[in-house]
Amino acid sequence: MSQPVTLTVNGKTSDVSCGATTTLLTVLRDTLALTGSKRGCNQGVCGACTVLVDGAPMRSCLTLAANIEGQNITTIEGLPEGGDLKPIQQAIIDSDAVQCGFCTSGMILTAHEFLQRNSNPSIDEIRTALSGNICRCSGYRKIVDAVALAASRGGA
Amino acid sequence: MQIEQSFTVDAPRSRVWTLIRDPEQMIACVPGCESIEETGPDTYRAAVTVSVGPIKARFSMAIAVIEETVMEYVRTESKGEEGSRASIVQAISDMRLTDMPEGGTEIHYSSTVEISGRLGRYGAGMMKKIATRLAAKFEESFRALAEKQEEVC
Amino acid sequence: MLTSMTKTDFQKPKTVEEAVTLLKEAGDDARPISGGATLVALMNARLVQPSRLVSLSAIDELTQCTYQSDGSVRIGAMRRHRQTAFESNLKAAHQVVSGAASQIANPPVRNMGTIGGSISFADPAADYPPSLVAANAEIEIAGPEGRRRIPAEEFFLGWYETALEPGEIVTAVILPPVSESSVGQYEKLCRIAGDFALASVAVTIDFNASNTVTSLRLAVGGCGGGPIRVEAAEQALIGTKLELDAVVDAAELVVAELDPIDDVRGSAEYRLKVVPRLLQRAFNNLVETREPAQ
Ligand SMILES: Cc1cc2nc3c(=O)[nH]c(=O)nc-3n(C[C@H](O)[C@H](O)[C@H](O)COP(=O)(O)OP(=O)(O)OC[C@H]3O[C@@H](n4cnc5c(N)ncnc54)[C@H](O)[C@@H]3O)c2cc1C
Ligand code: FES
Ligand code: FES
Repeated sequence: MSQPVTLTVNGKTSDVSCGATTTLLTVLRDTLALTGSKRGCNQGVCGACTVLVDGAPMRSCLTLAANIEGQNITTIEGLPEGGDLKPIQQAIIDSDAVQCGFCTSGMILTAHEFLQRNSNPSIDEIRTALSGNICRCSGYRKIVDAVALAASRGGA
Repeated sequence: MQIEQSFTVDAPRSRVWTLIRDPEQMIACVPGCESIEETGPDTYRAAVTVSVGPIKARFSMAIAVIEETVMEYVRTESKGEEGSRASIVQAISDMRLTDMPEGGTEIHYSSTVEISGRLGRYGAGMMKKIATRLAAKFEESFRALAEKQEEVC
Repeated sequence: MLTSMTKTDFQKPKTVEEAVTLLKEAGDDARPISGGATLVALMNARLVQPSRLVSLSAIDELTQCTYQSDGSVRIGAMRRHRQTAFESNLKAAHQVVSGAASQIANPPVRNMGTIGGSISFADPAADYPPSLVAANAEIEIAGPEGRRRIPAEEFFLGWYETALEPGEIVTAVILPPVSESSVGQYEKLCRIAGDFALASVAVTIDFNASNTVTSLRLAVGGCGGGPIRVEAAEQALIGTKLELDAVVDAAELVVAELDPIDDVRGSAEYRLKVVPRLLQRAFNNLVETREPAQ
């Protein structure tokens, strides 16, 4: 049963038609062609699909599109402002914290929200904040370094 | 997975035997059983729903009595699957009845069950606990049934 | 595409009464949806295909946490784990509940999951159930017949079964008033950060002026079908000052009541060995949090 759903993604409102059980991740990737959010496990475990809903990181694979009408969704595509990368994005590049890149968008969005709440985090706090995002390539070290670098540059 | 259980009911062995061999009566006792129909001599088809939290599996079971000694012992073989074959269950079950010295009947039940497919994800430890809970429900309803009929007669 | 082919309809009522009616209308295969962190995962895995989803997200009443005039705290069913973890209304022994909330899953899942969804699903290894039993909480339930309240201890029936009747929903968790001198502690052991508990221990304690335990409640998670409260151990500790000997003896009484299984997280035997350690850790940490206050 398809129904019309109005979603606000990266500041833009779109009308999509989807089933009651269609997840936000499916709509983002298959309907809106925003493929920066990745489908890893589809079970909420890996974090590759993480997006911001009203500013808070959530799993788009566990979010029903029909259930978040009227809320503001930010994906990795919508993070840069006016074409400028956010400090955490620049820090990820500068720290060489990307290998295959599958986990990267989820890592960045989670870290971005974390740095807005905690501008001077300890390494332990960074690790805890990112504990719900799995990276199967790196040893996490460069990712953690990148978050610390962004913090030291005073940005999120 | 092996399940074993015994319990006693305050009813004579002949009555217990009549009840367990009467599909109509068993529908009410087997937890989640919606229907049982006779498909041939000693073969039956039953619809049984097993729920684990919000997950519900409706099995269509083919049950055959493969060995029996009237009033004493019955062995059944059951095979079932969900509509879409999402889970498959197979079981060989034995039920043995013995007179208790002080009257009443002991029912000894043992079953070897194999479950595969989506319900298999719960693992043997958890499934055994769930099976034990179902067995306890069976015991409760069966006792109520056997002892109630006793009074009526 | 992973969209479902089944016909599920989606409803988002504004009141509890409407939600209950919508669920009743659609019968057995209708499901309420709160955070979706469990239900959507089950749907994605094709384990559940509801005929109707009734979202509880737009019901204002369920999203509130309020401090009542009698000192009790009412946590609406839709409160997210992250909100409860940082809830300023939760003080003294009530912190056993915020402590449990702060250890559920990982930060993004805590932004999604709700207390109502968690206790309704009643995973044997979930964090809230033992904490609510230790806190002597009551669960408020709404159904076609109106509302009722039952103690948390009677709500969890084991192995994913709860006291919810078909068509009923959890509307709130109510924590009873606590004295300022009381404390609450939740200890969880898991394989990796963000996993369900291998075993967990929840305790609430009150003391008199000379530091003697005057009341105590204790429940274990992940070691049976649901939270296991051990009254014999509680009684054994009341009147003590939580001396090591007393704690060791009480831990033995606790272990005797557990009913763990072997699973991917650990063996039953291992669980029986770690629970006494978790108990000791809980008491040590309790005493530490209490000391600066004195
Ligand atoms: C990766 C991951 C890790 C996790 N780790 C942990 C952990 O360590 N500890 C832990 O405790 N939990 C853990 N969880 C579970 C998490 O806390 C879930 O959010 C929670 O169990 C379900 O809450 P929900 O609000 O998302 O419920 P939903 O998914 O919306 O619903 C769950 C079930 O409850 C029913 N339901 C929902 N709300 C109500 C209501 N108000 N009344 C009646 N029925 C209702 C639904 O129909 C469904 O059957 C984890 C989940 C994930 C995805
Ligand atoms: S795809 Fe959503 S958490 Fe893995
Ligand atoms: S860079 Fe490959 S998963 Fe993290």
